[in-house]
Amino acid sequence: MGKLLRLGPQLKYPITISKLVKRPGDAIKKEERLLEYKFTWMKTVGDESDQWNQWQQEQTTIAYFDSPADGTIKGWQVREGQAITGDMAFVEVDEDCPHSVQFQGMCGICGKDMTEMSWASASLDTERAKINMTHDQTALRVSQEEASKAEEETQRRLLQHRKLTLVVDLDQTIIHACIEPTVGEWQRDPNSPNYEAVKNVRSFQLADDGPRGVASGCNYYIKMRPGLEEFLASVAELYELHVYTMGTRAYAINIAKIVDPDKKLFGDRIISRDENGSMTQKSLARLFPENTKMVVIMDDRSDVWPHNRLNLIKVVPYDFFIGIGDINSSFLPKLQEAPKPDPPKSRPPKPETDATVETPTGEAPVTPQPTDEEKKEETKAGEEGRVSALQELVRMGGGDDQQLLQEQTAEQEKFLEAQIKDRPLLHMQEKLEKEESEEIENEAKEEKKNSDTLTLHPHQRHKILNDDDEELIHLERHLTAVHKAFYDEYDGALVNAHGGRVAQLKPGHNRKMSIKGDAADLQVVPDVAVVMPELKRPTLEGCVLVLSGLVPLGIELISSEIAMQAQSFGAKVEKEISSRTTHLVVSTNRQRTSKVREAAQRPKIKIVNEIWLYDSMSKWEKQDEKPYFVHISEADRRRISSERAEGDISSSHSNHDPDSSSDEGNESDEPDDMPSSQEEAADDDEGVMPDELEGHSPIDDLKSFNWDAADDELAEFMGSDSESETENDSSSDRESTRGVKRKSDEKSSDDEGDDSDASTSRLAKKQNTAKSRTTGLKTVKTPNSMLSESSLPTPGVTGDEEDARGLAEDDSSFGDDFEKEMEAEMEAELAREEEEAKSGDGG
Amino acid sequence: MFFVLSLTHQVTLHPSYFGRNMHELVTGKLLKDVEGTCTGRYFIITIMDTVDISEGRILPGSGLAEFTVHYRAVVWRPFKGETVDAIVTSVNSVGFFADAGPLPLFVSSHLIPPDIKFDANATPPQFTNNEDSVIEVGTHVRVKLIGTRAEVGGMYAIASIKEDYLG
Repeated sequence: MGKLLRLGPQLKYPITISKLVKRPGDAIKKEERLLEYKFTWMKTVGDESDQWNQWQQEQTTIAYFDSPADGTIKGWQVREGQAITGDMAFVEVDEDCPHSVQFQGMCGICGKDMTEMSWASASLDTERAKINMTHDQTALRVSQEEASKAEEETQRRLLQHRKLTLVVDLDQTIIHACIEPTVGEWQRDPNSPNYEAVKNVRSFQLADDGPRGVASGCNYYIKMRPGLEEFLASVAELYELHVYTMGTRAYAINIAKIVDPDKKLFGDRIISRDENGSMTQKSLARLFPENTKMVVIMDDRSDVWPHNRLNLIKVVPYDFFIGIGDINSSFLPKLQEAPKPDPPKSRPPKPETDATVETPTGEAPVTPQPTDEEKKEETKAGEEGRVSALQELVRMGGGDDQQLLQEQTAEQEKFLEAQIKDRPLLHMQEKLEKEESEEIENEAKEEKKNSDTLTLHPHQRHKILNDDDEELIHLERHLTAVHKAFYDEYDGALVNAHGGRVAQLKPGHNRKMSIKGDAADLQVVPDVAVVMPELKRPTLEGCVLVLSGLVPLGIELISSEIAMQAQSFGAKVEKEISSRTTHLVVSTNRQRTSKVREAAQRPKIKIVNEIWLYDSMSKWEKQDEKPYFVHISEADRRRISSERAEGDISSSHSNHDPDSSSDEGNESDEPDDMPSSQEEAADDDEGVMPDELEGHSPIDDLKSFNWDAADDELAEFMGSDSESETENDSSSDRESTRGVKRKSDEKSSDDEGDDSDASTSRLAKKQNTAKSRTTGLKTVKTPNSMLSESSLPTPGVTGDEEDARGLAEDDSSFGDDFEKEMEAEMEAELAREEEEAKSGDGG
Repeated sequence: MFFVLSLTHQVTLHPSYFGRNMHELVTGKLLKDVEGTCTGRYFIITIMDTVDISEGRILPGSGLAEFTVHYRAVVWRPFKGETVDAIVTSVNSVGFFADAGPLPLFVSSHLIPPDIKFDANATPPQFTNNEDSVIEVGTHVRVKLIGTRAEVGGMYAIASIKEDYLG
């Protein structure tokens, strides 16, 4: 097959071919003359200094076209005398060398320099081979054809051995690494409480890592995930294993040495960030440019695989050295997820690396993990805000920015140094021990920790490192399942293909395939990216999830990590609780959001914590919800039951049972046009806001309400707004606590408990009454939001409330007789709708 | 191909080294600076001797002394068509990489005799004709350079084993 040479757009068309210099069969060299052509153009002649004395004259020029390629002429596509008006292919050439493999700018076949450019060359030869598909080299590039050829071969080989390809991440997927010297000390000290746990930790030094300040020459401590050896051994039977890590190459190789000492599993199939080409993403196309049908990925981060999500099995990060996180993650985009839930064994969350680095070295950067649950939440909440801001920065900066790279490198260095200097683990252990001696209150909690550690010395000193991870067992099962499903499908397809008739009917199958026969029918190979989601989908099929407190501020629900994952397992994720909702998934850190309260009213919604979701996704089967049920506070329940009782009465009047009324509330809210993420965020942040004022009511009767009067009232109060605000600061202390409350979760829940426990409290009741009366508040909302365009937790909100109450009280002259009936119902919706009103304000 | 070349090099010496054994220091520094480097056309393998060390000249402003050293060195310049021995460093389906001393080279599968095939299932992966010749990491090969390219810090070559007496 020859290559067609084109004339190119740079000639002065129209041209006429005047002579073909070479005949078909002639050998041509680069820059050799191929043909002569002529073209005419206008030239200005005459006296240059006198522009009146100039005229145009037609000129004809003969020019030559020189060959941009080496080879033999196969045939001309133009003839002498032909007039050509535009760019076209004019000759077919058999090239000597397709330059399809290039190494360091040289053709790997003919040895010519590919970077040379001359007047005759049409395009850079290096452009012809730009796919980089080998693991350990970046200098070697191959062309598209070469790549697909190589890939086809690999595929055939794998099919023959009935294997698939598995790309494995290292950090936090199969191992956990840290450089904390404390680990080494524990290792040498058999008396250390953590001795048992760190006994099997392997270490190595990176010599060739370049200057790194304190971190140079330090030991890397590597803990393999429990059961790793068996896992790899059995998986290697079904899969060809590749390592794809964001660590440096030296790091990757050292780890491969530990994990796979005789190179049986991974061989040389290791790719690291040195060869990756991108610091922020991994891509299968780097290794498998043409075809990823048979590739399964196993990683603890799904956001680094933007293009290969379907091939990915996300594993739960392995966090052995508590609080260390991923030592190579500074290069990756910041974790999008809200900090990890604290799994049942009360593992601390992953501290975000950047948050760590930001803190001046004076403070202990890697949050010395307070064993106290609440403290943890506080730090986390603090970090979250900063992280999201940084996220944006990182995203804006893009991945390949040189400066950013440097920053990140520096960041990583700092992170490593901090680890060495501050020794978070040591702090943690010390803290743990101190606490233990001081308090026995924590006993229960500690017990929990201990129970799952190695039980050799059950009541010795407590330790912070636990070696209890079952992820690999599930993983092995999944991988086997995927493998089986893949080959089942393949075999099925193969039978069909050989059956001939069926195959011909299917569009994707062509004749070529049936000729080839045998075990290598590439055409019928199913795609893992199709097979695997099929397997995953039934897991949560039919579940309609609503997430609460799990999607961080400012992130679109649909693009959030957890939602995407849940969707890949067949679940539907929705923003709002509706009649379709089957599960409400609640963050363990904030168990009392408005959504929880709303869901609590609906017996068929199962309220579970997010561990249920994570466990289900990790085991690929829907877990029994029972152990994961979120404790719903007594107050909420009571409210619910009482509401229900009242609701029954009121429903006779208004025909709204609690369910449908809130549904309707939902719909009527939608025109408010709130950005969904904001809304989410607002829900999450605000926590519980039970008896707040109400924006508008779904009750139709109110349509006839005297709006003018309400507006008058409103105007009056808007006028005295500032006054009421100041007043509100000093006056009713309940109000002021409310204002403060918004800022602190913990406090809010306490307060909340008080409120609802004493739901009979007169004050609250009065407020409720007031609120149910203030039907004109939809209009109140708008001016108020204009006045105070601040974000959520502002005193303006309280002012609003105050207005409402005052308004309502003055309002008593209206004396609408339906107010009592409404009261009960309103209560049900107040919380949620009020929040939405607030977030609307905020937005 | 190896050559003995007469070369010159400028050596600068810090004032704190000024003293009786200055010339030894200059020679030492020369060795450190020059040996094992690649100029872009050849590798300086070793310095045989210094022919002449000029008188030092103090550089205005810095106080460093500059010596011009004439020396003879063994250099290696890889030529197209030259046959060299190399050690395989990495094998993949497209070909294999080898080091001929300081020169990294690549032998693509097109330049490997057709009977020697890539076997990815072997550990480690290798090129083999299932008889006597096995090319895997660490194997000694004799290759013929068919193209070289120089960049600032080093040189690279494409080589072939698709001829008699190569492999």
